[in-house]
Amino acid sequence: MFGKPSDAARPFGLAAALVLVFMMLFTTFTVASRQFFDFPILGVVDVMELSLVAMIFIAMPGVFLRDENVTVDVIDQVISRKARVALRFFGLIITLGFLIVMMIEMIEPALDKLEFAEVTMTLSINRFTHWVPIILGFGLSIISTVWVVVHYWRAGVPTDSTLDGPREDSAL
Amino acid sequence: MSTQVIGLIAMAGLFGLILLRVPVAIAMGLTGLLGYAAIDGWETALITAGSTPYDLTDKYALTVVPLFVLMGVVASKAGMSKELYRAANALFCGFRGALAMGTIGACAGFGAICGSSLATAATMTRVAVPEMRRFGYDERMATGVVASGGILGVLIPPSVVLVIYAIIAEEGVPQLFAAALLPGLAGAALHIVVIAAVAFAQPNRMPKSAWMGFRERLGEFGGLWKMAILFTIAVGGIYSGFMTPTEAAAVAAFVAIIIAFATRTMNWRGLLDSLLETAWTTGMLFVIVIGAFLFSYFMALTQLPNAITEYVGALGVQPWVVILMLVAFYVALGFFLDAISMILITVPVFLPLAEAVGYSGIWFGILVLVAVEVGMITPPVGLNIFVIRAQMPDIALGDVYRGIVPFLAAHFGLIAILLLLPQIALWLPAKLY
Repeated sequence: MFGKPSDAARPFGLAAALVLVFMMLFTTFTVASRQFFDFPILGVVDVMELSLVAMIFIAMPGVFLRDENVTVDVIDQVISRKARVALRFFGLIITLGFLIVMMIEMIEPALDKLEFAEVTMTLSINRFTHWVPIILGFGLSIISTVWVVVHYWRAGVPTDSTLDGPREDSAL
Repeated sequence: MSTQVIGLIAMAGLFGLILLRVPVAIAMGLTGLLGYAAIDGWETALITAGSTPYDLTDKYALTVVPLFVLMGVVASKAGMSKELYRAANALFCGFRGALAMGTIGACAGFGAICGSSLATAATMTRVAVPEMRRFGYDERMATGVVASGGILGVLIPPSVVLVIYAIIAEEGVPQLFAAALLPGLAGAALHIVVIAAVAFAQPNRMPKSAWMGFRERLGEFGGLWKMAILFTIAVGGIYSGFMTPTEAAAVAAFVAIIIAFATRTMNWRGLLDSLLETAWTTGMLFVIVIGAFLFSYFMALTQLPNAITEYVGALGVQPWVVILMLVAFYVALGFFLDAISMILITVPVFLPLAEAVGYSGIWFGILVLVAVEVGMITPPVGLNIFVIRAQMPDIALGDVYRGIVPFLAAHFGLIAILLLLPQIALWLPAKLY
């Protein structure tokens, strides 16, 4: 549990990548089917919306494990190393608190969807299905953030400003 | 305390949290939650917060984001930028500063298949900076041109930032893509004018490159077929009405992978890396979007945008003065905030103001995009600069900053053109849609 958190992020990335491949292939197939075989496929919007939600919330714990949320490090240049460490922990604790509040508050609306059996327009997918990846994503993100806090507590916080710039593998 | 005052305090609190290194997404979400509670009570605030992530589940337009990101990542990893750079050089060779001009051409071309200024800057740094250094270019010029040219990646459609703007502003993605094309090309042209001016004023910073014969040039253009196919699918597919933005992005990403494998520029490992990179980028981006949704619900509750609009209306200033003030605000905000965060935080507040003084949401989107992207090359955040620095650690950060200065003229020139000639952004969408 208390190894390097970023090493544990890979399975989340792989699962999200799998959903991404599905989104790409499914959409390409529907375009080909409609344009070349005059056979439009129904429910594309329903499937893609569900896939996007699944992809985002599967990837989300990995983002927290990699400590890759966008932060602004302007202040790092004018404060001491100790203060930088304190601020990193401050940010993580605020993050943790916010995630926990969100998680608690999501349970009731999710159960409402289950109880009232609300469905999507075309494919009649139970809308509770959308809640499953959301709740799992938030729950695992809470665990991930705790792991990052513990890891930083034990192994030290990377406080070098240059580490906080965008990673080379960031595409945005 | 009025709701507007709560809104202003919350804005100050938001920037305070961001400066204290709280992640931008969490700062926006937390400010939204606390502000909502201050106005409407804890019960409503917590219900709203709890249902906010679910609001992503019916945003089909957002499905375009990971697919366009994937296309850009694949194109970048498959080395398509090198062929583009060679072709752009062939176009300008013989002139002083041809390599720098070629870099701008390559940035604009890469932007047409990438949609991200950071990815464009990162890719072109690897391709163009070593080449310019080899030919004796001044390092400041070499890095400045890549950092500034990288911005064209987000202006020329498809653009991930424009998709985010479209969702927040409730505008059409195809219309915004159409609106961005001519300003993007104008931005590229202005960069070339700046390079020509610097080459004329300080010829020692940019050696003259060798002349190339017609056949040789034609040979270099041959490598552009991959780009041409991807651009035709990604942008042509949308403009022609043949595909929706999501469909165009999916097909273009699929074709990019097929091309990369067919030309042996990517293997399975490269594909896996591209997919993982897209997953992380998308995850990180949507965490911000969730925070921004909660923040925008709170902003709507404060009625702060209406109050600002009424206040500015009472001042009786000219519309262009209002827009100039907004541009100045965005440029200043860009000193410490990234483009997507800026758009998510400010558009719910400022778009109503821009519309009230007579500008359309489409035009304002393009203006905001140009203004926020200036922040990508200005210290202390300047993400494009960090990207270049990460790959060229032997070049001093100060040199990169100084290299950008001449190109600010191109960006502010583009803002002036947008203000004086709004049709540059509005003509194409009006023709197409």
